[in-house]
Amino acid sequence: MTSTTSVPHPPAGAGVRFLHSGDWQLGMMRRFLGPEAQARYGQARLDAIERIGAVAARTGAAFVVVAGDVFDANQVDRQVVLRACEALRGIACPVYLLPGNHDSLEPGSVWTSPTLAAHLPKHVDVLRDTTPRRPVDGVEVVGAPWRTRRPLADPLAEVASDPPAPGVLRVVVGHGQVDSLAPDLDEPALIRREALERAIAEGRIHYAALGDRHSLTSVGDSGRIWYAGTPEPTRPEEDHPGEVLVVELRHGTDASARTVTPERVGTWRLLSRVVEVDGDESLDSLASWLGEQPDKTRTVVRLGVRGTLSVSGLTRLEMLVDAQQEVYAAIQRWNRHWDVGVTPDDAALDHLPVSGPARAAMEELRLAVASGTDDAASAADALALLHRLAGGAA
Amino acid sequence: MRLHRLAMRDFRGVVERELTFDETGVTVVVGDNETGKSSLLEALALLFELPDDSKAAKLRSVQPVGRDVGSEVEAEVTLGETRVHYRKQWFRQRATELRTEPDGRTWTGREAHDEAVRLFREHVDQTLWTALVVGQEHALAVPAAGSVAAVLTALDEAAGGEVDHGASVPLVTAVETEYLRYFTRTGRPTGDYAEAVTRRDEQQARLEEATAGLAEVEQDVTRAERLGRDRGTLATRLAEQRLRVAELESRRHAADELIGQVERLRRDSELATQHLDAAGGERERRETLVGEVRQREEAATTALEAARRARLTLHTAEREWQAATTRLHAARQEHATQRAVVRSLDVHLTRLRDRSDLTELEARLAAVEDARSQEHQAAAALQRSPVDAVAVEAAEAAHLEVLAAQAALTAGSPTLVVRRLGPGEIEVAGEPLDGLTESAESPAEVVVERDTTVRVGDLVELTVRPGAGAAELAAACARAEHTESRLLAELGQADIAAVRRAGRARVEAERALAGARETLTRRLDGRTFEELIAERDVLAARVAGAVEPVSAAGDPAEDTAEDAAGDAMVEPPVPDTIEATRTALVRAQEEESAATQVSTDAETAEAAVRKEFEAAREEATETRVRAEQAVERCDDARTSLLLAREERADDTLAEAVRKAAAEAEGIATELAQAADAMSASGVDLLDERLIEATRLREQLAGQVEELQDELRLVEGRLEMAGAQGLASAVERANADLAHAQQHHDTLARRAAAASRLRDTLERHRAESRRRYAAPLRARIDALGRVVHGSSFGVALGDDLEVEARVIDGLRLPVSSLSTGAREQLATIVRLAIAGLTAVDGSGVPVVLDDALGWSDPARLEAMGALLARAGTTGQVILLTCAPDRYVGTVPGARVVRI
Repeated sequence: MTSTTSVPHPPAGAGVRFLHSGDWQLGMMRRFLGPEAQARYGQARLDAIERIGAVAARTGAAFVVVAGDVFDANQVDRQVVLRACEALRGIACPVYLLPGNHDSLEPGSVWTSPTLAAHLPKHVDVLRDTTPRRPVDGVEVVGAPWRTRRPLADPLAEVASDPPAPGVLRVVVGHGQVDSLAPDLDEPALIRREALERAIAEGRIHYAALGDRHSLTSVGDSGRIWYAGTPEPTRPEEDHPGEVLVVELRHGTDASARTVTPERVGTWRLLSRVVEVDGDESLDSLASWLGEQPDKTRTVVRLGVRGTLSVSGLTRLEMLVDAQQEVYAAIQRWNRHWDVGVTPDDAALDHLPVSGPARAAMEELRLAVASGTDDAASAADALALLHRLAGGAA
Repeated sequence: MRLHRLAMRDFRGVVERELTFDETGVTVVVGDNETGKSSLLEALALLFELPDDSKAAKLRSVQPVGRDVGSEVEAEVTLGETRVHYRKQWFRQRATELRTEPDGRTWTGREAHDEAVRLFREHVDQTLWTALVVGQEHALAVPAAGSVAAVLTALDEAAGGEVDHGASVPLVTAVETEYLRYFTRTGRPTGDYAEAVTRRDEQQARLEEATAGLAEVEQDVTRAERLGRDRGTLATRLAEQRLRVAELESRRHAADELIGQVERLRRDSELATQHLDAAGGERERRETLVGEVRQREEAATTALEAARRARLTLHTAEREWQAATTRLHAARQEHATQRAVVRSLDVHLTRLRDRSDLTELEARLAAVEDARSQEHQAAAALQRSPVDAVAVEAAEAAHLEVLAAQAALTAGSPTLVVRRLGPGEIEVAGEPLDGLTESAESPAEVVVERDTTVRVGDLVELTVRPGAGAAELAAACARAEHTESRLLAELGQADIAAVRRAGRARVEAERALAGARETLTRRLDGRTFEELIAERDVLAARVAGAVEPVSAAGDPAEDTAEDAAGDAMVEPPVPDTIEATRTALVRAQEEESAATQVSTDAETAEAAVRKEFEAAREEATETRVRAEQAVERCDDARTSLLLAREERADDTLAEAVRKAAAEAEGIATELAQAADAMSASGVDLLDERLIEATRLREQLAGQVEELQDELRLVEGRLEMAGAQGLASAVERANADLAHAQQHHDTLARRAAAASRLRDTLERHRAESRRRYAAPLRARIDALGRVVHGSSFGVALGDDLEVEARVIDGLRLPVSSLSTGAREQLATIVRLAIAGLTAVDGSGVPVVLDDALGWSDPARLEAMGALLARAGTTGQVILLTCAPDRYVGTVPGARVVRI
């Protein structure tokens, strides 16, 4: 995937350029973030709208489509709605918002709330139905909104069954999993890729702007079915989040008649890292990796640590993580990949000034750590504590 | 530590006091209650605990009540190798002074306090101090030796194990401190850890609350979706139901028309039945007429036969009778002719009635108008025919008189028979004989009623004079005729036949008038003329175009008019009033009666022999009259029938009846069909179905309304919920919980480590303590046996605490011991601890305040021995208010009284 920082002037002749985004998930909170980071993360998702507006202005996009899940839920805070409306004001061209599964048009939906109705800017249109919109001559935008949280059919099955008027480019905005990417084929509301590709081959659809998948994804070989991904990442597993797509369409069915270019708008990074430790050297390298990362305040690391350390090494690891925790947006202890043992035959323990029953207790804990049984971790913690309380060096 | 001297000034109730103690041995301090024995221990404790500027609450109670003075405590103690002089004054002239020997250093103020505390901590094991220096309040508590580091060190040595010298005690304390950061002594989370647990639980609860709120909203969403669907379904059903109701209503409307049609047909049927009745009535009258004619013919035949026989008889017997009979017969014929006129009138009336009957079928209104016109005409006819039944009867009677008189005259007068024998002029009664006879062969007969002359030429004139009887008869006859003619003149009739005609005409006219009125009433049938016009318009509209059967109805009407006009011309004028007629009749009757009397008298007088002849003659006359009457009536009837048949033939009448019946039947069939159609259309069921369908429609509408209301309610709730940001609340609660959970987990991990370490350590210490238990028990047992005998023993727990006492094999838990026994046991344990710790100089004095108050003298003595023995190695200070308790029981004790 390539990323260009500047896009030339709008295409000449009968063509159109627009932006494709989706899954803004406004109001979303992440449990691994503390209150302060949470606030900044929420703000970053709102700021992404402004950055999308900047991309639109710079590329001369005719309009922007947002393919669903604009809000994380229908019952989001009023504040989130108001701030979203305010941020949308910053986009100069028409914006089409599609209700997705998180903000479906069910009763009591955010789209029917008085707050939204009163504050949504005029140039922002919610695709509540499949009526075609014509932002510019020769282009129609057809939305397939989610009317309920649990639809029972392909949300795109109903749209674009007839070809558009001659000379009109049709952009379909949809939301949901495409069956070719879905893990569960029994899910009834999957988007049928074959049907979509057939519609494209027959010239009924010129571009399908999809949402739901947070990773930037091109579906199939047509190059005309895309998931734009989320503008700010939400999970470490996502591939290439943080992009908005600049789409250029011209008449014709060959590959040259369409160009899709990702533009970076995301500012946060959600990383996963699993390290193996066996001594001070490995701890040094972990410390330097954590230290080298840029933009730590907007970075979340899901950290897994495997291996065996001395009692003092274990204490150092704890202190290292504790210290970086303050610098990063979050360092999440990845429990599934967190498995640190203590070296039972640590010479430091031998030299501890303990005698009598205390020494006997220490030896028992060392045996428990060495046994590698379930309570080894708890025994290691106890051993480290003994080490500290008995005056051992950190 | 050894306590050498303790001085107090202005301390609680004590103004000034100084006590000195032996380095070893027992010192008994005796004082009454409230003399400040207990203040000694308090003063010593405060001296090392609180600096001179302390504001501690427990210090304030030390200042003497009501006196603003400083409180001073001074002590001289040995700590390790150092002898310490230490003085402190609180409240007023605050001061702290410390001097140590043998190095001779001094401190003052805060430094003095800090150094004193340092020295005290260094040399005095706090656990030991707590165990051995006890106030009254702790006298009964049996100390746990395992928690006294000094005891453990001593026992280490005694047990001969690895010499730890209590070095692990600081670690144990540190572990305990660490443990107590997280847990209470009873093992419940405390401090930050408890807070973390609480926070985690709170966040959990908050999350659950928020989730519940959101779940409610989601339920509402599901509900609203379901309500929306249900409303759609019901609205569809409602629309269908509305169509059904509309269809039923239109069907109901059609049924209404059907009902109207049945009503109309029922009225038509009634009308047709009336027509049939009218036609049938007419035919019945015709049959009656035919029957009457037949009856009259028979009667006439019978009467004629009777008359003929009587006439033959009379003719045979008397020729005179024959002539009379002949005249009578002629008169009857004349009568019959006159009666024909009456018949014609009667026919005319009948035709009028028939026409009205006829026209009724065509147009009822015309019939009514006809009836009205008939009524007028009949009234006019009645006006014209004043001859009522009485007048007729009178005329008939007068006429009978005339006939009788004429007959009597004819019979009673001589008859002149003139027969021509040869040519010559013969004149009879002034007339030539030839004029009197028709042929010469038969003689001319002249009834001589008056003087009659027969003249033969100029030769003879013969005058025949009738007898007086004949003259009288003639006069009677003339009178009768006069009477009749006068009566006829009064009635305005030409003769008796005319009277009869007129009488019959009046009866007919009355009947016609009554008939016309009845017809009018019946045809109006309780309705007004205007209603009938309206109805005629309706009927006319319905029957318009139907060919009105051409009948002869018009012609008889014209004929009647002509006849009526003709009658009016020939009819003589009528008398002015009925009353006048009746008066004349009475007069005539009176006169006739008189005449009859005269005649009878004359006959009786003249010839009795004629009686039978007269009777026969009367018989003949009577039969003739009757026969005449019968024939007249018969002819009348025939004429009526004839005229009626001319007017309307029997066939026509039958045809009319048949047609009316057919029409009535047709309408009845139509009515039956319409009624069938009506009942087949299920009007009654239709009503029920319509009501039911309407009710269902209302019900559905109500349900739709209800659903709409409920939906609006739920949507309103959802709108309100939408403003609350419940999903954000859940998200936030989730994040907060995760945070709290993470914090909790960290602390839990640390708490678990502390707990694990403490448990492990405790287990190992308990194990070593179990090893220490034997020497400690041996020492306690040795001391206890002095007091309780050789069977005394104790059982020790994990912390080397005494769990139970055994005497004579009887094991009693400490808690079950009597107060005295427990105090003794506590003292024994203390002395055992003191004995164990005294050897290395680290020991502290054993201080007992008012101890052994519950012990009996024997035990007290044994305890005294023990205390004395303890005094041989250490310092023992006993505080008591009962000098007898120790004096004399503790050998070698020094007694200080205060």
